[in-house]
Amino acid sequence: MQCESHQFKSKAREALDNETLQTALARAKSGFVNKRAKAIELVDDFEHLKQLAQHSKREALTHLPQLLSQFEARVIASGGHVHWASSAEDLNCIALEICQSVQARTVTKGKSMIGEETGLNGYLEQAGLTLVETDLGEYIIQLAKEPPSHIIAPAVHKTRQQVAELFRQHHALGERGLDQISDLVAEARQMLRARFLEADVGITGANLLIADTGSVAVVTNEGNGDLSATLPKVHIVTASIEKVVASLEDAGNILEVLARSATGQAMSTYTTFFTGPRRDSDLDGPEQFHVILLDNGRSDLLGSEFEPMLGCIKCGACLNHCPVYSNVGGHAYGWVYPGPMGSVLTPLLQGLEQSVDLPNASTFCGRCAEVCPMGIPLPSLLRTLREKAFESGHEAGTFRFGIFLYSWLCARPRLYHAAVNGANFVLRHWPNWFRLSLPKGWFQHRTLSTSEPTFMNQWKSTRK
Amino acid sequence: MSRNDILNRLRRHGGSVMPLPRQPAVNRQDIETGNTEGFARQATANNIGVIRANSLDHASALIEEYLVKSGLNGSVVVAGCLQVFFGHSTRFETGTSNGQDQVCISMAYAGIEDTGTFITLSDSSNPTLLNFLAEVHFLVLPTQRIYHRKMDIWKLLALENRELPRALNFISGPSRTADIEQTLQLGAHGPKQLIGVLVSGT
Repeated sequence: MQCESHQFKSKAREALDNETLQTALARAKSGFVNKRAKAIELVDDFEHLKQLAQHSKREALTHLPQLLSQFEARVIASGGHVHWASSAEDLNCIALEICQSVQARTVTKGKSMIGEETGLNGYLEQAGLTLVETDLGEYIIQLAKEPPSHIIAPAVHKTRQQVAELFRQHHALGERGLDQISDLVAEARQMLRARFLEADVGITGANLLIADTGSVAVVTNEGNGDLSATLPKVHIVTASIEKVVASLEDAGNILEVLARSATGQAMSTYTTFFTGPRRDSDLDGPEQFHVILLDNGRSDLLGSEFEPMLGCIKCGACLNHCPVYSNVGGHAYGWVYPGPMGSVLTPLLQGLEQSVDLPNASTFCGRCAEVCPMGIPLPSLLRTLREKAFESGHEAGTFRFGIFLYSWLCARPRLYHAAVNGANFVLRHWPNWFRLSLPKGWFQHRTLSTSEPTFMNQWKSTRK
Repeated sequence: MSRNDILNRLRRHGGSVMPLPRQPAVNRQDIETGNTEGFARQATANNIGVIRANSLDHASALIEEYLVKSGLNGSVVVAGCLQVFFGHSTRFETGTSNGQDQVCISMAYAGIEDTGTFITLSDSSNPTLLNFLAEVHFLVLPTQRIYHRKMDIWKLLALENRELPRALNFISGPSRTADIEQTLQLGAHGPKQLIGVLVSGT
């Protein structure tokens, strides 16, 4: 997918002015936050579960090359194939080659953020394949020709009326009504069931890869992952390299925190461990099982100050609790991953020069780090990225000049006090004039206050 | 070549070559059994209907009764491992689902009390599609196979020396979605109704 993160400021402004989007975001925010809080309340010691999950992930990252080799060997032993992709283009080429090798014409796809990252849909469609997203949210945005705006609820920005309109445009509805949300779900079920049954290839993402058994864990609530993985004659899994863990026990540790943090469920409806293609005696399942492992810049993060980001399990809790994401939505971030995790991952995978505003898209309130089940210090990673952006000179000249002026002033205490006193004088005596001279938008979300006298000033005044 | 490039980069950046500690051997007493009432409570909270039976024959009679009462007249597919209990009626076919069946009946390998979850292992006598394609899905679970937590299932698989099948399913309710306006709807792609048949006795 093309990275448009350099347009963050203008897209954020548009999002704030979009009333329909603001309504959808307000509804989504309270839904996710409340469900997560309730799920965690029901657990005796969620902190303990977090520690176990983090330990499993740390062990996996420490042994990453070894576990990936082991995973590969186990997949092959179970009759499957493993492919390695250094870049997005590599992954797309490999997936297309597999599809062409079985003369595939139709593909059903379960939700895969890796597929979004590499622009897999567009690539396969350009090669003449008919590809249908089967997660309801992904299907909606596929019809709307939009990227996902949330990593677990891709169509969170759409209202029911907008979904109904999309179905009217793309489905031959006949007598079927679309007044209720249940009508919309039934409509999608009916349309997609036919696609599932006729598909030649099924593509899914992976929540976890298990080195010990060569299994791929896929978590869904709809069951679309299982249907995409089982009905077609070929199952392709697209996964990034950091998804591997050592054992089923380690996978279990991470699953304990995943659904609770994501959707507020103790466990998602369907968690399936796929191991290889169908066995000789099986009555269902694909004849071929392929796993494509994507690097795309991740191997460079191992051992760096950004390694903790490889611990992300894409639960979306940081998005749901972020005041910036909750106001501007996912599209403003301009690439696949939005919110705090996206503001770290996008610059790391796409380059800071493309996404220099993203590390600044944070109030540093710290909620993201607080709710992250994997203990990723997101604000501190964002701070490090800010420093790097400044050092490398990617920020706008006016911003750099402002920072330079401020640091120059801070290094000169007398001048600094004179400037602060001067500013205070202006704010006290000409507040309205000052207000008018600043951009109008600045005051929509901020109040201007005069600063208190400094300690030194107070001390001096008592001595008089 | 991508494979070696990626692995070499990872090794260069600090990927340890020290072997991971092996999982300790499992004993039967390490596995914590679960409480049937707790399981039923959690399953109900997950929108799963619960039926109690005192034998597999009783379970098949209760399922037939349920089908009649609910007016479920469409085709029914039952897992091969349960065929003997449904063999008296020609209505019950065995095999896997083709997507046109109204009802599917499959067998659970175990249950998890903590999350109200049914676990199934796919094979020729219990195909995985039985869990996903019908509108109404019955899952038969002997209560003596209910365990406390997810961790107990890994231990159970190790203890019973079970090789992983192609699909190991953890099922915690009927298919659902909240992708439109965060409103929960059952029956997204899979079953609209999931009924757990808890069978006591052996």
